[in-house]
Amino acid sequence: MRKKILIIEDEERLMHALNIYLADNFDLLETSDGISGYNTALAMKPDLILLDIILPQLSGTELLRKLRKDEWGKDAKVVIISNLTSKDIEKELRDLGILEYIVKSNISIVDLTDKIKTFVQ
Amino acid sequence: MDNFITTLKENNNNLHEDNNKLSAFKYLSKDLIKILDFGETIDTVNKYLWELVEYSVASFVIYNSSEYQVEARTYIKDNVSTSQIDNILKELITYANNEKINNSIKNKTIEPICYGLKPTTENITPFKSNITIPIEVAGKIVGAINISSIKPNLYLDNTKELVETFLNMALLATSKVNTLTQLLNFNTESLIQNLSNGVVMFDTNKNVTLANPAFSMFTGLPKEGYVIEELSKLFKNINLDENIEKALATAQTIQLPRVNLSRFFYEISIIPVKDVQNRVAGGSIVIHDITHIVEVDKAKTEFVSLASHQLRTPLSAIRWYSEILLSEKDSITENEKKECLQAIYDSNIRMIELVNSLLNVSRIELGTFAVEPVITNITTITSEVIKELKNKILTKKQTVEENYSSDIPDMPLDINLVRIVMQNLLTNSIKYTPESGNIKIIITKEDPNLKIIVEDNGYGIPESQKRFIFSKLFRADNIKNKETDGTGLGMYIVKSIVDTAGGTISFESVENKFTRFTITLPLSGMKPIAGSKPLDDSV
Repeated sequence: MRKKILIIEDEERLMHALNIYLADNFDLLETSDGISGYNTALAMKPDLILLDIILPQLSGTELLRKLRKDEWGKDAKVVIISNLTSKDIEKELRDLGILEYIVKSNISIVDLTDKIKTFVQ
Repeated sequence: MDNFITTLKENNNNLHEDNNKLSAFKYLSKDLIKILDFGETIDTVNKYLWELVEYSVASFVIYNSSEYQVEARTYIKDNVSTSQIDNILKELITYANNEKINNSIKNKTIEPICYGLKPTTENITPFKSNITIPIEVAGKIVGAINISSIKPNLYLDNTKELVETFLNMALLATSKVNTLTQLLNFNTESLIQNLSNGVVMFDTNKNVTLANPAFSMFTGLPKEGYVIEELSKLFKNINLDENIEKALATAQTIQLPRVNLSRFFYEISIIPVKDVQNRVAGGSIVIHDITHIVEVDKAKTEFVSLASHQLRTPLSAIRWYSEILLSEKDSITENEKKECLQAIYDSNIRMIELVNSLLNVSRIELGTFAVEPVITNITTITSEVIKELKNKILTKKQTVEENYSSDIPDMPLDINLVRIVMQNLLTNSIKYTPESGNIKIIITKEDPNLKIIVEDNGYGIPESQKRFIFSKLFRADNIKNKETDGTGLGMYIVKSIVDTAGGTISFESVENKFTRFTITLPLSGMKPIAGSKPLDDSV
C-alpha cells in the first residue's frame, strides 16, 4: 500500500518540484498554509508530514505544538523542511519531537526523496 | 688669611643654610599638593619649619573657615611646662584678636593638640627668644604662630620674615587647592547628576552617599540612605557583593557581564574611588543602559536570518529544478521541462532582485546612499515607469488610469529614487490585483506639497497585518500564495526614500476591495545628500 505524505509548503515552485519527485512513489496531500495543513493532518492522518516553518496563518512551530496535543498527532511523524536556519527554532522543534530538521537549499531533491523513503518505511 | 677663611666659612654656612631653606620650600610644596586639610597643612609646615629655625615650642592657632572651628597645635622640642604653653596660646589669641581675626576665635577655650615632648607641671627655664607672626590666607588673617626658645637672641628680623613667607605660601597653596577641589566637586556632582548612565557612590562602609537620577530610574532605589547590598538584591546573578569587595581590595575597575532587569539590559562597572593620598575611599557603580544596543543587535540577527531564508528559497528552486532536468526522468514531459526552465529563470530573477534590494536596504541603513536631485517633472518619470511595466499590465489585462493635474511643477528630484518609489508601488498594484483589475495614479499639487496616489482594486492588505507593511522582509499572508515573487523589502525601501525626501506615506486598504497608497513630497523638492552609492533601481 502506498504511503500518504502531507506536504505543508507555501512556496508553490518548491511544492511543484517535490511533487515531480515524490508523486511516483507516494500519495501526496498538499496544503500551503498552517491552518489547512493542521486540519488536513488530523483528517487524513498521513504517514509523514513535511512541514515548512514560515507559513501563512499558522507557523510550522505553532502547528506542531497544536498537533502534539492531539491523540493521533502526538506521535505523528514530522520532518521539517525549511530554509530558516535558526538554532533556537531548530531546538524548539526538536523538543517537539521532529524526526529531522532539513534545510531545503542544502539538500538535493534525490537525497531528500531517499530520506523520506526511510522515514516512512 | 684668617679673615679670608672666616669669610669662606661664613659663605659656606650661608650657602648651606640657603640650600636647607630651598629644599625645605621644595619639599613643602611637594607635600602640600596632596593635602587639603588645614591641620595636616600645619603639621607639614611644622615639619619643614624645623629645618629653617630652631625652637623649643612652636604653636599655631588657626581659624579653619571650611569647618568653622579653631584649631591649635603645639610642637614641643625642649622641656617646657604646661603653664608656658597656656600662656603662649593666650598670647596668640590676644594677638590674633588684635589683628582683627574672625570673631569666632574670641573667648574660646582651646585645647591644643600637642606633639613632641610632654609638657611638665614644674617650673622650667623661661623662654629667652620669642616671635609671633600672623597667619594670612588670601589677604585675610586666619590665625597666628608663635615660636619660642629657651636660648637667647635666636630670632632676628629676617627669621620672622622667612617664617612668615614660608607659612603664608603654604597656607595660600592649601586654600587654593581647597577652592579648586570645591569647584571640581561641584562640577563633578553636576556632571554625575546629569549623566544618562546610572551612577551610585558609596563609602568604605558600603553606605550609599550619592546616586544620580538615572540610577534611581534604572533601579528604583533612592539617592541615599541605604547600603550598596540593596543593589545586589536586584542583580542576583552577577555576584555584585563579591565583585565590589574585589574592586575595593585590588583598587581596580571591574567590568561585569551583561545583565538584565525585567526587559532592560545593562552593563555594570565597579570603580574604586581614591582620595588625594591615593587610598581607596569607597567606590562607584556605573550602570550603562544597553537595551537599545541589544534590541538593534537582535533585530539585525533576525534580519540576517530572514534575508538568508529569502535567498535560500530561490536557490532551493534552482537546485531542485536543475536536478530534475539533469536526471532526465522518463516521466517528465517536454512541457514540464519547459516549466522547470521557467522556474529556474524566475528564481534567478528573484535572486537578483533580492540581492539588489538587500544592498539598497544596507545603503539606506548605513546612510550611504546619495540623493542627487535635478530639475524634472514627476509625471514624466511616472509615465516612463508605466511604459516599462506595460507587458506585465497587458498580461494581466489590467487597466491603468493616469490622472495628473496640469499645474504639477518641475522641481528638484532624484530621478533614480522617484523611479524606485513608483516602480515598487506600481509593481505591487499589478502583482496584487487580479486579472482585469484597475489601477489609478493621481498626482496633484496641494500647497506646500505634491500628492501622489496609487490605488488598485486588488487583494488588499489584511487588517491584522497592516502594521507590518513597512517592515523589512514582510509579505502579507493573503498574497504569498498568489504571488510567490516579492522580496518583502519594497515598501520598506519606499518609506525610507520618502522619509529622506521629507515627505510622508500612508495607506488605506480593505481586503479584496482596494488599496490606496498616498505619498506627499514637499514642492521644494529633494535636498542633495552626498553619499557614496546610489540606490539600485532594478527592483
